[in-house]
Amino acid sequence: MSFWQSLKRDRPGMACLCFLVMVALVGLLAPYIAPYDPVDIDVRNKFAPCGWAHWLGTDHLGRDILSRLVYGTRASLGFSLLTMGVTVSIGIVLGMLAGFLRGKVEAILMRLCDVMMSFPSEVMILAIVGMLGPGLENVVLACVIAKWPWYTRMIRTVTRQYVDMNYIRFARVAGYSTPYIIRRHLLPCAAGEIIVLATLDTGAVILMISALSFLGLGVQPPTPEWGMMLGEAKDIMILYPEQMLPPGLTILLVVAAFNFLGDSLRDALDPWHHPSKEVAL
Amino acid sequence: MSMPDAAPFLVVKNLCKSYPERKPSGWGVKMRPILKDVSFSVRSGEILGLLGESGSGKSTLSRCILGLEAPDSGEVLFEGQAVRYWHVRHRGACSVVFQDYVTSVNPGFRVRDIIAEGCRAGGGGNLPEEGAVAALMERVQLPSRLAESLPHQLSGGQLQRVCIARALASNPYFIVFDEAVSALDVSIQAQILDLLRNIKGDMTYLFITHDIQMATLLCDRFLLLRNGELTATVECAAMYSSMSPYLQELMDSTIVFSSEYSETPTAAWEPYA
Repeated sequence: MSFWQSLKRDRPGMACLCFLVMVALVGLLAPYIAPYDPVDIDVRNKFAPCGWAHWLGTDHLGRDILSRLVYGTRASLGFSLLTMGVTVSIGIVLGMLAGFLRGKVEAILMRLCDVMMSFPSEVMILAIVGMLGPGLENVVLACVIAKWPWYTRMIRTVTRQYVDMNYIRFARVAGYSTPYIIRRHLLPCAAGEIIVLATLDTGAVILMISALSFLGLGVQPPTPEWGMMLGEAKDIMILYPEQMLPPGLTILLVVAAFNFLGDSLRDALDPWHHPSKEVAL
Repeated sequence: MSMPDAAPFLVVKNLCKSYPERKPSGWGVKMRPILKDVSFSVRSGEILGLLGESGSGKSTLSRCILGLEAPDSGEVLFEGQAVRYWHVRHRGACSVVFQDYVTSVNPGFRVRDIIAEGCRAGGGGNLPEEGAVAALMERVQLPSRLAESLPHQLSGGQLQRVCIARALASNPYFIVFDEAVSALDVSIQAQILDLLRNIKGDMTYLFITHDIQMATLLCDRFLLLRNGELTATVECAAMYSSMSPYLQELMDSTIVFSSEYSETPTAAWEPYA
C-alpha cells in the first residue's frame, strides 16, 4: 500500500482526514455526545452567553448551540456523503458503459452530458428545488441531477484510457465477462481519480446544502443544520453577531478539510510522487 | 515440422477491415482500409509467421483473429466455426502475448495473481490449484522468488516471461505472439525464442513480427503482409529457391554486424535448421 504510506507522510492531509473522521463520528454518536436536545426550546434562557451550562451559548429560542451543531452534522455531512455516493455510483455505471461499449451508447450518453453540463449547476439546482418544493430530499435529488454528468464524463475518459491496455485485451481474449473486467481491472484503476474528485466535491455539496438551507429551501425547521443555523443567526446579526460564529466556522473548517484532503489524495495518487516507483525508474 | 496433410486449424477468408480517419480538410470522416482481402490458413501444430513492416496491418489482423474486433467483411474460422462462437465454446483455448509487456500486466498485481488470472480463464473463475502457478513459472524459467513481486520490479525479459506463463496457464492450443520479442534486447530475444521453441509441444503458433530474422529462426513458414495485402507465402525450408522481390528487398535492408562493411550480408541468412 504505497498510496497509504505516502498519505501517512503528508501531515496536513492526515490531520484533515482525522478531523473529518472525528466529525463523522460526532455525527454518528450525536445522541451520546450532545449535552441537550437540539430542538428543546427554553425561551427564558435565550441568547445565553458561553459558559459551563451551555458551552457555545443558546440561540434566539434558547436552544443549545453545541447540541444543534452536533446534530447538524447528520444533515450536512451525512446528506452530502449520500449525494456523492449516489452521484458517483451513477457516474461509474454510465461512464463505464460509455467507455466500454463505445459507439452509439457512448454518443448518446455524452451528448446528454454535454446538454446537462451547459446549464450552470447552481441555477439548475435552484430551479429543481423550486419546482419540487423545499426539503432535504429534494436538495439531494437536485444535486445528483446537476452533478452526475461530470462524473459520467470523467469516468468514461478514465475507462477509455484503460480499455485499450493489453491486460484488458488479454482478459477479453481469455473469455472474462465485462463485469469481471470492470470489477477487477477498471475500478481499481479509476478509483484514485474518482476519490480525489469526490472528496473535493463533497465540500462543495456541503456548501450547497448549507446555502439552500440558509435560503430556507433545504432542511426545514426545527431540524438542526449548519446552513440554517447561519440563516437564523443572520436575522439577529446586529445585536448578537457572535451567534454566526459557531455554524460559520464549522462549515468553513469542514469544507476546508475536504479541500485539503482532496489535494493530499491527488498528490498521494500521483504516480510521479510515488516513492516506490522512483526506484523502478 | 510442417504438416501439409493436417486439416487447417484456422482459416481467414477475404478479411477486410478499415478504420475511420478524419479527412485532410478536417470535416467529415473517411474510411482508411487497413486489411484488404486477406486470406490464409494455419495448419494445426505449425508455427506460422506473419511478417510486415509497421502499419502493414499485422496487429489489426491479430485483433480480428483474437475476436477483439469485428472485420468489415470476410470470415475468421477456427476449426470451421466463426471466431466469436469458437472463443465462447473453447474458453482459454486461444491465448495471446503482446509486444508491450508494460501495459500487458496490471501494474498493481503481483506476479502470482497475473499468472493466476490466466489459470482461471480456462476453468471459469475457480482458484488455480496449489502449485499451478509455481509450475508455470518453472516452465518459463522464472525464479520462484519473483512470485510476490510487482511488475515494476521485474526486467523486461522477466516480465515477458510472466506474460508467456499467463498465456500458457489456460492450456491453450493456439497462441498469438503479437511482436512478442520485438521490444526486448537482442540477447533476451534469443532466450525467449528458445523458450518458445521448448514449450511449443503440439500447440499452434501465430508469430507476428517485423523482423525477418526472427521469422526465419522460429517459423515453419511465414506470410508477407504489405499495406494490408498478403504478398507472398514463404516456406522457410525453401526460402532461397522462391525469393520474391519484396523478400529480397527486406533481406538486403537488414543490418549485418561485421568487421568489414563490404562483406556480403547473405551469410547471415542461413535458414534455421
